[in-house]
Amino acid sequence: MQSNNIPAERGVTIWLTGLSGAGKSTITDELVRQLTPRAARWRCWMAMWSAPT
Amino acid sequence: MEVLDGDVVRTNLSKGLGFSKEDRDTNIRRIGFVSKLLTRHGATAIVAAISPYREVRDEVRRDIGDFVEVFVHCPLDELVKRDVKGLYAKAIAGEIKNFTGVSDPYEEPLNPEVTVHTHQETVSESVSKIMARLREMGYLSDGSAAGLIAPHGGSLVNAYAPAGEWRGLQAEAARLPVVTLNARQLSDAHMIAQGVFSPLRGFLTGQDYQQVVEHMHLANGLPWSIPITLAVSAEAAARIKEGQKVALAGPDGKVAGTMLVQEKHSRDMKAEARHVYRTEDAAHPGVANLYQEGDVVLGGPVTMFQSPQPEADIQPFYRTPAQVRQEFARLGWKTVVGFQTRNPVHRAHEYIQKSAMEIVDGLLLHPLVGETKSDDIPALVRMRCYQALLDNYYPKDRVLLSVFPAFMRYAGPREAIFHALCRKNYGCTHFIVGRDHAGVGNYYGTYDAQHIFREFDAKALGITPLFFENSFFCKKCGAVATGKTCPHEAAQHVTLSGTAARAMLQKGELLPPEISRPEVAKILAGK
Repeated sequence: MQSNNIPAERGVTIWLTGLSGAGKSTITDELVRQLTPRAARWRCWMAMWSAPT
Repeated sequence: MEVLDGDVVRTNLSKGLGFSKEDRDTNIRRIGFVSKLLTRHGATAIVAAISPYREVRDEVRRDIGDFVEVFVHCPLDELVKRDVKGLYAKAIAGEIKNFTGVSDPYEEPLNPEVTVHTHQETVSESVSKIMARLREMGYLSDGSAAGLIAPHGGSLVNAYAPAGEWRGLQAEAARLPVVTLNARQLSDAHMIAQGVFSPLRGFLTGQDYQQVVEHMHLANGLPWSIPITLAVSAEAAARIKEGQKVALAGPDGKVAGTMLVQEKHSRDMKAEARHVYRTEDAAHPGVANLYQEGDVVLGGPVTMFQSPQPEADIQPFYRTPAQVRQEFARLGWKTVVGFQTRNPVHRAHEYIQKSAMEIVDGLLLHPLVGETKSDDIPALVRMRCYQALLDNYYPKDRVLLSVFPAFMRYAGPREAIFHALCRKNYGCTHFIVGRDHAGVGNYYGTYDAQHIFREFDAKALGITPLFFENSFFCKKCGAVATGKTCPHEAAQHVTLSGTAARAMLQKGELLPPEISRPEVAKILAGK
């Protein structure tokens, strides 16, 4: 799906700290998904639509 | 963007390090060093590491500068209960030494930029908090870095669940009472989810509804002119309690999302008709639809987990507000005029669009492809007409053709405001309002849809309306003009009513070249 965010040109470190099992990796996966340039994801979307359901 | 996962780092960058305080600190300094290099080069580094010691975290923070600390919090007893990897049981049994939280300290951050509570929030809620903070701090934008206009209310709503949660949510939804949406309601739900209706996060609850109907503003003071409601049958409403979640199914019965029903309220349909449509007449298509849907409405936020399903021919032109904004950014447009239409573009409209294009960077040709009146020209034919026109008469790098998946409401002036605010969310700075915008029959005055903009604070609207008078081809001028630019009498003007045009097209005749470009006329005549 789409996200509504275009990463700005400034770099940043997003540092997730917390106990083992608290959800750092799960949140990281979703953050990556939302921050991935949408052009790539758009192509996936189109493929999803074209695929027989 | 690069991810530095604590577990992965320990297999290479920090291989051989143990779990003493010294080794842990060394591990964090190494991760911090790589993150600093990435950050310095404009990349985004995402670190997921227990990093239990405050002092070294703060050292890394100082060193990097552009640093957003996210405290991923979950109470220890909950972690022990969950124990996904079975590590806590082993640590408590003493089989694993130096286990953070059990036999090793964890120093919570004192002032993290974000704290997420994973035992109370869904993944998407937690991520939304992080994204909001990143935006606040200027690390990402809705294109404002590219100079685009801010969405209505400040940020684009995204009410789609993360793809990874779709299957789980489908399973959860199967246990919920189902509310079946009609095609328009489903279209509204998707447009809420995509942020077309930002700042709305769901169907209107009572207070917002009342304010919108009576005063054309949300309870928070933002302009909003059309009540986005979810009406349900009395039987369906009887099964639903306030505060519960319901599954939202499309007309085909497929569950597309869920909604937290914050409020179930009844509406005064006649009052809504009077305020929104300026008539109680059931012959008005918008009013007829309102009466048919009934007076019981549900309000509350939606979460969608199925993509909209545009028709195959529409797909290539289907873009969300975020995607349109990205296109604008790529094209380098800062000022963009939006043009709403549910008709083929004839020469009169071409003239208006091009007049507007003279003062902005680009044109978003944004035909509405949701349901219209049955005598309107089908969306697919229109798309071919637009394409033919753009290919032959417009500079390629100055127009973006995309579709607006909304249904017509025929609310005239109120819909003009609504159409403008939606286009602001797509990134438009200007919006064309011609004669009788979104009108039907004789319910509205010719320029009411322009006059209504005076009732709003221009700054609060944020998008600039461009008003155009009725345009026509003047034989004497040899050009398209309006009453503002042409001094000649009506006899010189080539006009063709919609009814006359339909009659010509039904006979397979070409519209005259003063009315329509030949490439468009041919498509309309089925040639």
